[in-house]
Amino acid sequence: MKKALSIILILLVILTGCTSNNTSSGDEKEKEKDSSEKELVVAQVSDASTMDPQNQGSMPDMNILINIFDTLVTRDENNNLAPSLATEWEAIDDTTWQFKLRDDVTFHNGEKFNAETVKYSIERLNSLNEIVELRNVKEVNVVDEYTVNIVTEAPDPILPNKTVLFGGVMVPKQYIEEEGEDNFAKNPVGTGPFKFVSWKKDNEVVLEANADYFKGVPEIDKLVFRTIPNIADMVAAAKTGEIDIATGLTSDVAIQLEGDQNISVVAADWIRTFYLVIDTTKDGPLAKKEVRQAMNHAVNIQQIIDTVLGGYAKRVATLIPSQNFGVDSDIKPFEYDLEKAKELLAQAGYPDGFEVDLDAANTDSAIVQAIAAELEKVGIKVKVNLMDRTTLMSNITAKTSAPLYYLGNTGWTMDAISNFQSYIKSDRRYNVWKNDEADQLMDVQEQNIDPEIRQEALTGIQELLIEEAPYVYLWQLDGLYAMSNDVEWEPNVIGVLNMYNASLK
Amino acid sequence: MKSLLSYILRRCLYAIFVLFGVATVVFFITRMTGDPVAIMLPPDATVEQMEELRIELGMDKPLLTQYGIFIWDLLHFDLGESLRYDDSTLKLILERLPATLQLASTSLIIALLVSIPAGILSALKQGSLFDRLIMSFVLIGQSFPVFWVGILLILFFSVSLGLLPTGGIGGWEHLILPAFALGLHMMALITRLLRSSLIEVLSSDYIRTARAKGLLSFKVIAKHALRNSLLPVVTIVGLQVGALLGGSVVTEMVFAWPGVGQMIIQAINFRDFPLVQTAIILLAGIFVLINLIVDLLYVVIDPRIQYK
Repeated sequence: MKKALSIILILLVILTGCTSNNTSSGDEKEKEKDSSEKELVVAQVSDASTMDPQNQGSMPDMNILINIFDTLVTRDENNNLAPSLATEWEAIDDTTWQFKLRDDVTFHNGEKFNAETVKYSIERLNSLNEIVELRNVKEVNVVDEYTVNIVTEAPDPILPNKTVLFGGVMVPKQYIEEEGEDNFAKNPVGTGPFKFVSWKKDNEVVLEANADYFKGVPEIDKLVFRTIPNIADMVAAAKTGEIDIATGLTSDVAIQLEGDQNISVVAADWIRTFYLVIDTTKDGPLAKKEVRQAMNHAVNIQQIIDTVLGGYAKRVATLIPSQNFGVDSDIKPFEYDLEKAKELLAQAGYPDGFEVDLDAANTDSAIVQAIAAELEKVGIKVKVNLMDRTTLMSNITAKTSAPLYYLGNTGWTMDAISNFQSYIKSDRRYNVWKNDEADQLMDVQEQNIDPEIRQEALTGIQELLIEEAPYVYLWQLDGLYAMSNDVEWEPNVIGVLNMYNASLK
Repeated sequence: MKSLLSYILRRCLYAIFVLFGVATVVFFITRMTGDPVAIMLPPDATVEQMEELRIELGMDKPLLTQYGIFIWDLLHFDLGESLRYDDSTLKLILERLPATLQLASTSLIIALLVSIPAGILSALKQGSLFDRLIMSFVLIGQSFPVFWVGILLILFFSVSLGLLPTGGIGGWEHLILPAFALGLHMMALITRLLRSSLIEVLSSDYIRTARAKGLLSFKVIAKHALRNSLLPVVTIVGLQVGALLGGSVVTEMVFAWPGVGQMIIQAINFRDFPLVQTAIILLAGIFVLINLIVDLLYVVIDPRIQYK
């Protein structure tokens, strides 16, 4: 009797758990919102660490701060560089970029934005951080009230690109000097579409529309960023209507949400690109380019995209996402061809394959297991080691990781230079493939500001990447969001949560 | 009274050793998990820049020297600065501690409010349908992990019924689900413990004598039986507070509760060693303190116990 009762009870609990998924669509919770005020609640998995946009370098921070601050340059809907605080810019010589500025911009506290602001902001950025995008800036010269020259130590072809995010954030000189750094980090004042209201750490940041915004008042009156560290909980909150946009979804979560009536899954192009890094520096099969080419031929990448990733990714030929400058669309990805792969392995002297270790973050388990299974088909036995992401990264940095590892890269400057810089040249931090020709081409594309010369060098590098195959090239993921049906918002390819263009139906 | 005071002093001395041990363990364990410098810098940082940062953070020194500096600072009540927030670790934790304490204490209160009546009634009506129901719930409560219960509660009460928020901090309605999820295990444990303890006491000779004297049944239970069966309960509550603080780490992650637990997880992910250290030392301190209070409560409950 006692036993039977407890079994029934357990079953009941399990049943309620299972059914709740299906019954959710009907009873949406009424939102207790003032109908006149348009409030948009956006959730991300981690909170900002500071409200000082120049004393940080992480996306969760930037996602919030990009709504309070403006940058010199921005991106338009076609991902081209577009005016923001700067109206136009040009390279007046190899090491000088000149920016013309808007003359009608004020900070939220009324302070005027001008050339002095730019000088102060860039100097402050470089004094707070030794390692940022603009560390190569030698000096900033005020030409007149609304013109500045940014002088770099060596030619920097993508300086304007770098001012789209962290590097180009403009901060109020007078406010910071008068109110102090600490106060600024708690009560930020920017020029952006939203003004700072309050910050409850690890819980929420509240912003309100800036009625005097120079690009026009945003449609949203109140913008709230909630921190929800657990994706399952974030999705639940989207279903109940507590939040309007859930960000940073993984493909498995997005697949589960397909067909849910209350929310729509939005998949947007994103420039985060993934690959298997192959350590070519040690003797053994991986030092042979035929083996590496064989690995590229052996993995049915489109199938993994369609199944494991639910179609939420796009094939790439090398390390560069299709939107970035420098990508050469004539360079085609490796064909899936098992016969050719086996042939190449035999040529290299490994007709029966070999054994190899692969390191990956535990969150990418399904993906790397699928890749391992594909490689197994040509006899390459892959032992997958899963670990938390931080351990993976520190092993890679310390060069103690396995000869294969799964990694991604976001080149948010949208120039191939960012996709290559840590990998391709022999002296770079993540380099595990030494090639003299690639080194020379890297110098050309990094030290020239002429787009045509750069493109030629970048094409050369991509040809080498196909020929030498020092990576298994995979895909660029889609940015995945769950949005309530009454929200209209276009995510951008950089993946930063700029909410100025959002509106509620 | 004087002996009690010296007992407390002695316990405080022990507490210092316990905290010293905790600090040592947490120091070496965090150092074994990897290199924070690797993730603090952007991917294009050079080897020299990494070395520079390592020197700046004092991580270039031998581990034992670092440990010596850490203990020396600790003796001066300097708990260090967070790597991620560039701020005093103590301040960062104290900002979030109220939320954790609010959650843990609400859990404790809910657990006691449910388990004490349930345990008593269960013991009195031993073998009845009510007793069996309660014991089945106890089984469930003790065997289901908090993160799973948490997700089920969210799915049922928030997503399906739309009664309560899915997470975050706010009014009392935000507190119900996480506090219940966190307290469930303790609730079950205390119910079972109180039930068996009370059943044992009820069958002892002095209760029978009290009943034979014709005392009211209620009075016998409340005054004679309950008091004696509470002793093990108090012990367990003291120990379970540790479990509540530990469980809050998981619960806060599930319910997006902005407390110390959530911060510890993020600090671990970021390899923010100073922040992890301070948080663990502080939580251990709270645990030690609560256990001291529990030991002192024994005196009140059981006059036979005396501290010398």
